[in-house]
Amino acid sequence: MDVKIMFVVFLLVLTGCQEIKPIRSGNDFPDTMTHIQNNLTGKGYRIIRIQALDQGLARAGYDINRYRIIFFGKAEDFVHIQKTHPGFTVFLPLSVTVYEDEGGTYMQSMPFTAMKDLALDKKQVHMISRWRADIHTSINNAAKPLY
Amino acid sequence: MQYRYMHPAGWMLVIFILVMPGALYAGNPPALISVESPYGMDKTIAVIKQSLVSNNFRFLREQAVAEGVTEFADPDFRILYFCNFSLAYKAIQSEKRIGFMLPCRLTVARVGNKVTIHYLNPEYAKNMVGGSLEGICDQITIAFNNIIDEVIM
Repeated sequence: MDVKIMFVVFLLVLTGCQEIKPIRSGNDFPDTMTHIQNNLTGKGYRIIRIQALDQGLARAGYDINRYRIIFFGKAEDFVHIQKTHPGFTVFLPLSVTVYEDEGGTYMQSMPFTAMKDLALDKKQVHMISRWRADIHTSINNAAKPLY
Repeated sequence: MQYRYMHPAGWMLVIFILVMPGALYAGNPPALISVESPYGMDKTIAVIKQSLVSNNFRFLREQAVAEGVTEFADPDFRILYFCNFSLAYKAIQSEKRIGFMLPCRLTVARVGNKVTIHYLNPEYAKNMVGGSLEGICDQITIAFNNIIDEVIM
């Protein structure tokens, strides 16, 4: 194998190790917020709350760019986790972080690989895989430029 | 087909690629921490709230884990959200990807007669997003340990 090819493989492995990778949106912050929520509700998730960390920090005297956390979930998932694996509730509700950085808007999901490692049964593994697929699809859709 | 010997640097790279993932995850601290409380649900939550203040956190809100997704959220699974604004500011400035850990939270769950406090280990989160959070996660870990100590002591 050529050393250059192996270097590419190395970079791919390295990228794979970075579990939490933000996706840059092709839309501005307000459109990204609207679009990601629409995508999540379109997949059957209920938006529970939007935590405006930037506003909370501003009230305490700390100024940062817009930084919001969208909390959401599905009732049946909560019921299953609470019954089978109470400790796993630390990951609930699910969240997507939307933030501004250096002129761009970014979206970032949760550490699904770590979550999968903690799953106790097949149903939980499937559930986490579904969350991962739904959330990544929603993020990628929301990142597509609207105009 | 002509066989070519691989350059030694190539072999080193192969070995590094094979070993690296294991090395990265080896010795990782546990992701979840669960501690049994000696008290009932209400007393446990009350002691945590008191302890948050003495550890420089501001209590934000308390809710059932499933609140907002169902009309019948189980009251035996509660989340306590809290924040130290200075630490949160430093954390976001150092590493924007820390959002999944914010705001700080503890889950208190009652199963049968047993009340347990669960939380995501800040040390584990630090390893997941990188070393730039070193000092901040250490401070949060100490604070979480203090809060738990005040509950179980």
